[in-house]
Amino acid sequence: MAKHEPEFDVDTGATYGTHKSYATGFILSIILTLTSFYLVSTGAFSTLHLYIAVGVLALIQLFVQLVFFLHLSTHSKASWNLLSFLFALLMVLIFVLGTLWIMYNLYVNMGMNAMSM
Amino acid sequence: MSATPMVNDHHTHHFDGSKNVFGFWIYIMTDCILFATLFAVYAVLHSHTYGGPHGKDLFSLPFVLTETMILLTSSFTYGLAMLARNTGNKNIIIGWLWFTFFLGLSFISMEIYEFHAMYVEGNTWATSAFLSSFFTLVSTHGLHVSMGLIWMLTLIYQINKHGITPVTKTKLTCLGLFWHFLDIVWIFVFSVVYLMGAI
Repeated sequence: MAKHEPEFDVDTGATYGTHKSYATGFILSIILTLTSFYLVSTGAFSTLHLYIAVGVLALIQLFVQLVFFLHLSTHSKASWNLLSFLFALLMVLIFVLGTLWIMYNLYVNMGMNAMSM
Repeated sequence: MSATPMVNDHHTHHFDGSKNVFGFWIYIMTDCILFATLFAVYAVLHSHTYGGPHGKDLFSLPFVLTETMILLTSSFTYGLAMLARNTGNKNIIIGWLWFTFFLGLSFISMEIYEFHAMYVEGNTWATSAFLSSFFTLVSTHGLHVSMGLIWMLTLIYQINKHGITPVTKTKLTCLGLFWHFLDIVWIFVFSVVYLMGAI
């Protein structure tokens, strides 16, 4: 795909996919979703490994949909889209990981058991 | 400086939707942060069931998988509507938009059915911190999808009335970003809330 120069629409300045790219994204998303579902419903791995597998599959699907549906690219003309996305991603990571970190520490240091509350 | 008044400037100026689309993209990014905070709250509170039911006791995975597939398909059919933007045939776009609309409506109907079933069994947002955060996160997504559906109806009306113009194309593109974004958020709701909740 990287071979082709992305086509920017004259009216909207946006890039759009092709039938092939939408179909690819759609099929990959279905496969990833069904894999997650299958792993959890059959209990294929141990608990920790299931958490990791579902998390990783969701992140792969995020990447697939960003590329094939939202057409986020590294092309210089769309660099502000990518830059604002990366900034938002940084914020998301700080919020989610920071919250989990600080709340986990709270539970441990206050002697609270998170599972019993 | 030319003394000639530029009276015709308004009429000759070509509509440039690129700033609208980029501005909408920035909005989507802020919406990411909104959802991130709700996911963080859910991640902290999901084990605080106050003696009530856990996710494992409440969720039906095949039901939610069906919802996921419907929303995923609607994202694809919206893509087909966008691909028809340069065909010059507005009816193809309108056809795919109606298709997407009814898929979105099915998704929302299933969600309302699920919430209602939980509510009548006494599992409401007041039951536990877990269910408060669950309903907040999932219904914020549902509210976004509902807004998208209303927007889709108005867009169908506008494309039907004005045809495929730079303005309607820009609106079609913005709603497309919104719709695909909601599908991505749902992937995380499906994975984090439902699948991880069922492990």
